Amino acid sequence: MQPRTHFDFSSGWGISGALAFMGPAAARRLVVTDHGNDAVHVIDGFADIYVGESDSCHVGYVASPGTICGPRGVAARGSLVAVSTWDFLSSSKHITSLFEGSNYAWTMVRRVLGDFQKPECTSVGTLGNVYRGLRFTRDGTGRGWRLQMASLGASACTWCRTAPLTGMWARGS
Amino acid sequence: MHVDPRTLIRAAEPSAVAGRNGGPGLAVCPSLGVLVTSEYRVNTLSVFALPRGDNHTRMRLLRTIGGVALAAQDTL
Repeated sequence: MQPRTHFDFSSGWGISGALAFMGPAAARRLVVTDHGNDAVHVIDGFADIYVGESDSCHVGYVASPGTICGPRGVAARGSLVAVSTWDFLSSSKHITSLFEGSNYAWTMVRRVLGDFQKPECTSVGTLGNVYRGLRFTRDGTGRGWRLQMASLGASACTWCRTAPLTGMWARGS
Repeated sequence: MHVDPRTLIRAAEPSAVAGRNGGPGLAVCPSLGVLVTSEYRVNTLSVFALPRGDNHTRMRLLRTIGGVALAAQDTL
């Protein structure tokens, strides 16, 4: 059986291996995108970094192998993890998926498609193709976060307000 | 733990990880005192200890995760 830390950051189109720490300061974990395995890993064990086998620090997945297509970029904030995905750079949809959860249980709560005209989004227009760049920032209301997405070939970011998760997303650029 | 931003900038320079096929991922956790890079050519994560105190010139490789195990060594 292949070790869970048998990453594949470079096969096929482009590369992955984006990293983000998540969780409270006392229990930080690392999220890792791995497009070769179509997975988003959760790595722990940084508090006792000197001990243990390599695979022992792999504690789970935000997205299990084969459940997400081409994860590239990642950002984390609180209980949210955002992952940008694409299979082929110029011919496949670029999708940003938002997961909510903690430790071992994660649920996809949003998907933002590259054409940005799906029902879960409020506005028409084009969300450029997100390559890797994702970042959470305060939304200005003090109640939630904006997810900023840097578009390939564009000089602007598009953002979505992530709270409340059940409502329609606002959009700006 | 206070981390001088200039230290992180130096740590992020290609020279810090170029010999280890560094990139493209990089994440810093000051509370844990570590900097992690992903290394796409060898499919590993490298975990470095952030410099402490006045020694802002060296980062120590603590361990690698995944791929072929590499011996711990100093960089920079």
